[in-house]
Amino acid sequence: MSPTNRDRLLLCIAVLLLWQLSTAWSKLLDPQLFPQPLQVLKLLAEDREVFVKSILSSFNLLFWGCTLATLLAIPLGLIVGWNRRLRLAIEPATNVLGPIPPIVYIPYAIAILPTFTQSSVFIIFIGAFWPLFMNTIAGVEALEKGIVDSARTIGVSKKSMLINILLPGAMPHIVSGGAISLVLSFILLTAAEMIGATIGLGWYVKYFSDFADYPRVVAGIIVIGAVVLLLMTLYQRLTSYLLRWRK
Amino acid sequence: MALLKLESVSLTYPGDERPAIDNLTLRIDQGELLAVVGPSGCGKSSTISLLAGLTPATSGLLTLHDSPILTPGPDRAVVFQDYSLFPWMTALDNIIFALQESGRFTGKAAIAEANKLLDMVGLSSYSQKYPSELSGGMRQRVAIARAFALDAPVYLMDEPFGAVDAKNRVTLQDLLLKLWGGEGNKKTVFLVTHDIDEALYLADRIAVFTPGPGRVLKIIDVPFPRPRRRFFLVQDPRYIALRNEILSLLQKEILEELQQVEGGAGI
Repeated sequence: MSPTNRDRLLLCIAVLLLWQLSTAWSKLLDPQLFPQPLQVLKLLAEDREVFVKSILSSFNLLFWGCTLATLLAIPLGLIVGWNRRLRLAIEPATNVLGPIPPIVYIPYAIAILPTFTQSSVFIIFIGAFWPLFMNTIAGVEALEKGIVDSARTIGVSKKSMLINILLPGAMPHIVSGGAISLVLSFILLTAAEMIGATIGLGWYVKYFSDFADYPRVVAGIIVIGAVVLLLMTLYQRLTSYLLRWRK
Repeated sequence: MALLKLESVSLTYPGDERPAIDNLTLRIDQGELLAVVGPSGCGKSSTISLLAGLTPATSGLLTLHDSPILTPGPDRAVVFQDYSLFPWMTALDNIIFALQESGRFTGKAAIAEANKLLDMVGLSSYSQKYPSELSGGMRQRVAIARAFALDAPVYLMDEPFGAVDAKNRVTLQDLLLKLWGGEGNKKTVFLVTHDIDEALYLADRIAVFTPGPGRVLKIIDVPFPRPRRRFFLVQDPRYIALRNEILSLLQKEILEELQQVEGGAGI
C-alpha cells in the first residue's frame, strides 16, 4: 500500500471512530438526530432494494439530461466558437441566461411539462448545458492560431475542421466544463427529486426527513456521496482517455 | 516563367500603424528554390502567410499561375516554424490525416504512404508517438513529411530547420533537395531561413529582406552547379564572397536601424 493510501485509510478509520465515540460510546449527541454507525450500516443493508431502485431512477434522469446537454452544447459551442459574428451576436443572450441558477426553473418546469421525468430531465439539461457550451466556445477561442492555420493549409473541409480539429483542440476546455456540468446536474437531480419525485436518491432523503427518520436520512446522504464519488472517478478516467495526447 | 508573383504587395496588420510589408515585388520561377534571409521583423513570415493565403494583402496582387491567391489551397503546402502538428494525433495519424484530407489517398493506401513518408524522415519507429512525446527536431521532421504528403507544386517553408540540431539539419536539407528535385517534376520552394549557409547551399536565388517595413533589399543569384557538395562549397572563394556580401547587407541594415533609433533618442 502506498503511503498516500495508508494515510487515507487511517483518516477514514479516525473519522469512523470519532463518529462511534460521539454517538454510541459517550452519548454526547442527541440519538434522535445523530444515528450510530452500526445503525446506519444496518439501514443500508435493510433498504438496499429501495436504494437500487432509487439509483436506477436517478441515473435514468441524469443520463438523459446529460446526454441531451452534451449532444447540443458541444456542436453548438464549436459552431459558435468558430463563427466570430455568431459569437458576438449571441453574447448578450448568453450573458443574461448563463448565470441564472437553474434551480429556479424547477417549479416552472414542473408546471409546464406533463411528467416529473420530463421536467427533471429538462432541469438537468439546462444545468449541464451552460458550462459545456461556454467552455466549448472558450476552447475553440483558445486554440492556437498555428494549428488552425496548418489545418487550413492542408485544405480540410468545414465538417472535418469541426470534427477533427476544433473538437479535439477544444477538448481540454470541454472536459473541464463537463466536470462542472456533472456536479451541477447531480445537485439539480437531487433538488428536483426532493420537490416532485416518488423515487430516487433525493426523494429518499426528503421522504424520511419528513418522518424525522434521521438514521435513514444519513444513510441516504452516504449513498449519494458514494454515487457522486463513483461518477467523478469514472469521469476522471474518461478525461484522461480523451486527453491522452497531452504530456 | 514566373510561377509565383508578388506585385507591389503591402500588408498592414489591423491596429498597426507601420506596415509589416511595404511595396514588395518578387517573382519566383517554376522549379526554383528561392531562399529569403533577413533580420527578424523583416516580414519573412508575413510573406509566407500571404502566399499561403492565410492573410489577405492590404494592397497589391499575389498570383500563382496568373490566378490570384485568395485562400489556402492544395497547390501550396506550408511548413510552419513551430506548433503546426495536431497534438491529438500521433505522428503517423498527422500524415494520414493530410493524405486523406487532400484526397490523395484513402484507407490502407494512406497508411502505407504515411509510413513511407515517415520512414523517409527517419522516424518510422516513432509513428505511434504523440507530438508531445517527440523532440522539437522530430516534430519538425514529421511536419515536413506531412507537407510533402500533400505533393503540392509549391512549398512554403518558414524556417523549417530552425529547431533542428546541426546533424539532423544537414540530413533534412539533403532530404529537401531530394524531394524538391525528385520524380521528374520540380517543385517550387519558397524557403525562409536565418541561416546564410543554408540559403547558399540550397537556393537558386537569395532574396535579402530589409526590416521595418519588409522589402527586398537585393536579390542574389547563387551560381554553384548542382549537385552541390558542402565540403567543396565552403572552400569556394565565390561562396565566401557571397556570404560576406549577404552578411554585410544584413549588418548595414542593422547598423542603420540602430543609428536611427539612437539618433531619435537624442544620444
